[in-house]
Amino acid sequence: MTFTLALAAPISRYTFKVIGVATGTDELAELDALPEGVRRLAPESFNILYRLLADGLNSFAYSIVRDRAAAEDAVQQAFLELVKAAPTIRGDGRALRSWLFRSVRFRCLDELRRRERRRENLHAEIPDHLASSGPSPGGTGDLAAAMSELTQQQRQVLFLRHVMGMSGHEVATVLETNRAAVFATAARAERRLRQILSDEGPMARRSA
Amino acid sequence: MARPSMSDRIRQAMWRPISTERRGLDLAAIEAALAEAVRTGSAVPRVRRRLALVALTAALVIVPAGMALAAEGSVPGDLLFPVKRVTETVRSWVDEDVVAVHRIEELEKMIRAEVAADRIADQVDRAAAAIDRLETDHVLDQRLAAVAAGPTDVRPSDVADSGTVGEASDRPPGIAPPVDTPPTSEHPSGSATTTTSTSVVDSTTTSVTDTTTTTALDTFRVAGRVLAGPTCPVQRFPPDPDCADLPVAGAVLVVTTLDGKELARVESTEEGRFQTRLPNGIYLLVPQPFDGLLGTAPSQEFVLEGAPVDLQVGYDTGIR
Repeated sequence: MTFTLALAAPISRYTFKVIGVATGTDELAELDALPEGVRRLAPESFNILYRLLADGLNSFAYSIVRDRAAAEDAVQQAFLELVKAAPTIRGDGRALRSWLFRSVRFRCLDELRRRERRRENLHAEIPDHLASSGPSPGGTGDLAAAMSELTQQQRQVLFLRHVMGMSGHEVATVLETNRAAVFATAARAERRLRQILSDEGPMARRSA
Repeated sequence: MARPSMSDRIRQAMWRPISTERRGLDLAAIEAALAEAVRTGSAVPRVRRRLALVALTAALVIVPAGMALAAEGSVPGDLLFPVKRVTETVRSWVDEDVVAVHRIEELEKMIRAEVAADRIADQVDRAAAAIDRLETDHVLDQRLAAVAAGPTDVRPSDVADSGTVGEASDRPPGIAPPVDTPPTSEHPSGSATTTTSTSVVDSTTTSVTDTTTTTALDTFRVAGRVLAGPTCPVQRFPPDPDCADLPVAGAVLVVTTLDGKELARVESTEEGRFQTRLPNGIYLLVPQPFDGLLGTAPSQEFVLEGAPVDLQVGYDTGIR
């Protein structure tokens, strides 16, 4: 009965509780302390920024290009570009984070376009993604397979919302769209994800 | 054991930490890029960049504006005078008097500075030409007359023999020699009969005539209209508008002294109008014969005494 109710529950942007490891209160406070140092090109500020965001950026890049080396290259290039652009970037730590994610996204989309020109089959790389992820704890292998069925934009929105814990405004900034579109995409992605998982087995979480 | 939330599961499915080896490489690359940026100065502090912006603004806006302001007080021959000419051209789009006012103010300054008489005479010409270009000029005309008739102390070195200065040698070509005209007012400098030269610019025909007067610098507009009549065989009363006198274009009028020396020669415009400038004095306006008209209009004597004069010249059509 509980299971049925969980499946039938209306899906909204509030359905998932936003939890991001890199976006806890402490991390955000730490992030907010960085922009001034970054603008001054202080090496310690860049070190902290890298420690806070590099893994998230890499995961985001990987969700787009599905290639470990390309994702890591995109992250490095984004930080090197930040060195050049830092004095001109305004705003708080969140603005800095949005800037980096946007930069990584551009680089990944460029990479995809390059691949498209080379007529590479993107689907052929999915095994690399699955193989490199190793054993997925807690049945996340199913979720990873389910996410691969989402659109590129849906995956990006889910990652930024659920993994990085970004607000609708931040996600909209990174993806260069508006908040309404972000929420609509997130709702569709979550609904689709639940549908895929329910078709494959009893994956819906039990109510607390 | 509770199942992880959907967000946790998404995170676990998508989380891809950077490898330790790559992490070290990235940090080294960032450090090198930072050092390079600092070395090449691309990391100019915001304050310095703002200062640079202020300096640029000063160079592009403040300095030219300051130069334009400084040029306001310049007179012909000064380094900044060309700047003043440019700014007054722009200002004249909204204030048509500005050029004439400037010329008069410059004349005042030059008189105070006791510059050479020929330069003052040239400036009078410029001021008069600027006033002539205006549609309503009588106020400035009187101001120019007042300035020019003011205390003009001509230095002895500027006075040539028999009291004439500014001879034709330093005049543009086509200028008639100086002509004496009867003095009509005493010079403020008292007993010394200093005379200076004044150019008379004929705006209609662009001919330039020099004349020499004792009052030197004041010139006044002599203007008028050349008409021909009658135009109908029978004159009616009240006059028929269709039979009004017609303007004569291209009629040549000569201004002479009473003893017949030619001072200026003007030609009437399409509307029959003519205009010239002369110093105070008594003159004769002598219309010249005009093809197609019977005889010539009678000569008329006129007096310039500190104010412009309007004249009417009537040719006879021969229609009876």
